[in-house]
Amino acid sequence: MNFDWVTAHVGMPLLKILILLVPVFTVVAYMVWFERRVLGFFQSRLGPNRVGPLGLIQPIADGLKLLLKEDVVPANARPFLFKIAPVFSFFPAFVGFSVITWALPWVTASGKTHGFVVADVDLGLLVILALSSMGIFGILLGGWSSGSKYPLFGSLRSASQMLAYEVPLTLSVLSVFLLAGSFRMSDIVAAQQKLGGYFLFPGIVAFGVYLVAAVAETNRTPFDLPEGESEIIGFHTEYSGMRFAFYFVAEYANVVLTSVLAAALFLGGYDIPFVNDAALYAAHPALTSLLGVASFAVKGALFAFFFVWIRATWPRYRYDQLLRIGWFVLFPLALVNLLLMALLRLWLLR
Amino acid sequence: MAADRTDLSVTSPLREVLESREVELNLGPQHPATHGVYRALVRLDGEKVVGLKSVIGYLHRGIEKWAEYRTWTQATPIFDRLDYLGAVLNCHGYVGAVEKLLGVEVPKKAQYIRVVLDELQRIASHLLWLGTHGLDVGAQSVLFYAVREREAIMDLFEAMLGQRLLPNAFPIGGVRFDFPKGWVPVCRKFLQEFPKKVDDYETLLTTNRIWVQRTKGVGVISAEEAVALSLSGPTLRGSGVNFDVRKAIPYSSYEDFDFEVPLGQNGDVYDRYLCRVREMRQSVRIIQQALDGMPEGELRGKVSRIIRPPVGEAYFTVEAAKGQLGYYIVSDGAEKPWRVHVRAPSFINLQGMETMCKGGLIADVVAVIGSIDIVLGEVDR
Amino acid sequence: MKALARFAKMVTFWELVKGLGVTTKYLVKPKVTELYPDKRPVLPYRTKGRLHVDIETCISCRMCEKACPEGCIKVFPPPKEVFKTDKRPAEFLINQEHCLHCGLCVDPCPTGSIHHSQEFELVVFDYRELLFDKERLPCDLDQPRYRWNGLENARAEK
Repeated sequence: MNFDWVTAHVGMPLLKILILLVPVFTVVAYMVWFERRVLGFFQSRLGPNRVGPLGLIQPIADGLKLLLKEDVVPANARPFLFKIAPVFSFFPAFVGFSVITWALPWVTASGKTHGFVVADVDLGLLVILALSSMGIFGILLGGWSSGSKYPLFGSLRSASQMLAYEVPLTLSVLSVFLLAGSFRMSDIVAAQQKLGGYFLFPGIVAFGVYLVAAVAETNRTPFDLPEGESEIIGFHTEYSGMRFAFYFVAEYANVVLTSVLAAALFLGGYDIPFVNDAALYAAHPALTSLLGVASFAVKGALFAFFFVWIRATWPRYRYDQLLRIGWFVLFPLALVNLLLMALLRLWLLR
Repeated sequence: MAADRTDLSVTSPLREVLESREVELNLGPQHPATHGVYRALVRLDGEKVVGLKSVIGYLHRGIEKWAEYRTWTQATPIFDRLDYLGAVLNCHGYVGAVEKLLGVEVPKKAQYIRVVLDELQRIASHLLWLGTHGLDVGAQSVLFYAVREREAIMDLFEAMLGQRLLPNAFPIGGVRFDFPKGWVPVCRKFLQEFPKKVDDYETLLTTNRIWVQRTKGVGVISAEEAVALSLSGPTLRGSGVNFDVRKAIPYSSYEDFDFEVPLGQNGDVYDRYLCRVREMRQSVRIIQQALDGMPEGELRGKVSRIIRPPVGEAYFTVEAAKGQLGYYIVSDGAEKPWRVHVRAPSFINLQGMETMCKGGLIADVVAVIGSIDIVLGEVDR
Repeated sequence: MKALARFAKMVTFWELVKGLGVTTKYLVKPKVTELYPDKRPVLPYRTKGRLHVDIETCISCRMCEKACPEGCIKVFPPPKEVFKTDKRPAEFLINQEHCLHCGLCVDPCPTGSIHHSQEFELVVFDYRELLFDKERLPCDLDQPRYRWNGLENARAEK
């Protein structure tokens, strides 16, 4: 057993996972705080402001409360599936973070390069898309195993909604792939840096389709009928306590993941705007990496803010209208856009 | 916009191949969107509503019976609790009925003050309707904006009547006190700011394509059916029937004021929404006219301390925020009522639920309940 | 031309963007949340809070007892000999738990000794604390914090 081999193949990845997961969990938990606070501000009221200064301890209080709740499994439910269903929602949301590159690589004193990524897979984007498809299982299982009509309806709706919007999402992401030439996240950012601008402008239609599809995939207003808090309540009606927390956190993790992905695909990711990244990297690599992560975070936060903004403003679509938009509006639009992107790539961006 | 509706008709070819069953869903008494403890037994074919049965009575408190054990004056506070969002209008109805039976003449000044408070209460009730209806359909912020405006009205009520929600506003014969010092300028300021806020709500909802798609063509009821089911209020006027008690059977000097009665055309949720929003603007007009033309005079008519009406009956209706509210009182000469019956508009309007919901989806049921604007306190009494 | 404008509005989600503008407008305006226990509300003069009885001016006529719809008030006049000179009640019980705050007891009082105060914080752990007798009845009426912007608070209103 070669010690270097263990360090390189077990120790280093575990360290990276730890460095990734701790901030990600914190960000997802504080996304809850962010949403409640910003939603309140939009609605002429303060959000949480009692628990700790500015209500910052609210997510911890919520987490503790959910942990200490009674674990209720309905009599009509199928116990095993009921208990494991939230896990199917929870894991894909977080595993998706592992293929995202957060900054330019870190060069240690001894000359070794460590990428700012847990798994620099060359099909990184596809991994995220595949995982988001897996997230549907958690909802389906949870709804069906609850043993009551409301969750069943909610999960059926949610499953068809997510299937319907997977396709435009994938197609819009494919447009970015056409522009960038690779599925690897670091290559996509590098392509945007080479282009001199961000993929926002060549891919403006793809950007629009991606935004709408992302909102629908994460079950957010105006497409949050499965959660339909005022109608059918949703697939998580029978869940309480920590199991509900799993679904809840999975949803917010999905929101953060799609925001981060939008920032990476269309706004340049860890590219620092208005600055020559390559030159800065040659001079001060550590500073560039840090600023890169910061700029990535700000761009992701902009999208998260946008998610909350539209939640505060627009009503929600009814189920059949939602599906009609997915199949009859977004899907053709995404297809046409893909064709146009292919032509663009062929003739202009040679 | 009829093309928006997915064709879920019974003649779809799939039906011959797949076997399906109707599901009976209980939109139970505990539900965030049913505006109180209202239960609807909905028969569903997939997502399409095939039948609906309303089950009520979860909030029955025996108000009419309670009134039989109190004197005519003592019975006044309980009628606030019928439609607890439109309390001043309920009080006006009961007090008007007793005054009609007694033959008491309410002075002009008191009538004008009553009109001002009535219309303020109507605005408050419609604001909460707007908030909850918006919330049901998904627009979450409208609720908070509406409640914020309501705070201003409730502050006005507190300064004038003493309580925000259930003020027991009028004694039999008139009003208790005139406006306090400084009330009228605050009210006028509110009336100036309010139309701009209504513009905000309209920007958020009226032209919003999501809102229009959710509410146009949904919950349609034709004018003939509406009249046949005795609907009233904006639920009726949304179908185009021009019946407003303030214009048809004027009471309390409403004939002195110049205002419009908004009407709808299609009888769908969108038209009822527009009716109520426009009614709010018209109420602002009425209050302004009443404040401008406030006469001098007495505040209370001549009413004896212990009220013993002559033997007989009287029926008096007002245009409450929800519809036509009527009080039927029977007196046998004693100091306690023999019978008080309340013609509650929400109770009658609920009859239209099945007609409106048939053929729609479950999400539409919630939108329709919101558009009828029921308050369970009235429905169950 | 009009059709073009309508198409442009549809494609750019124009009215949806205007809606976003409305919510943004309120994002930056001051918030209306009242920070309750830290900042007490200022209440107007006519607020119907807890009932206050000025025992010194009460003449035990029991009109308020007859007027109350809930039967919350119980007045016990003094014995006949004392009543000839001193009409103040021997005992005055108010059940604040059942009080509807309707104000019907205030109307018939000939001396104006019973009226509502502005004390609204009537939450207790034991409901028996809401049964007031003669000693506990009077409220602290002239607390300086109860004054409302623009509207009169002083008894000088009448």
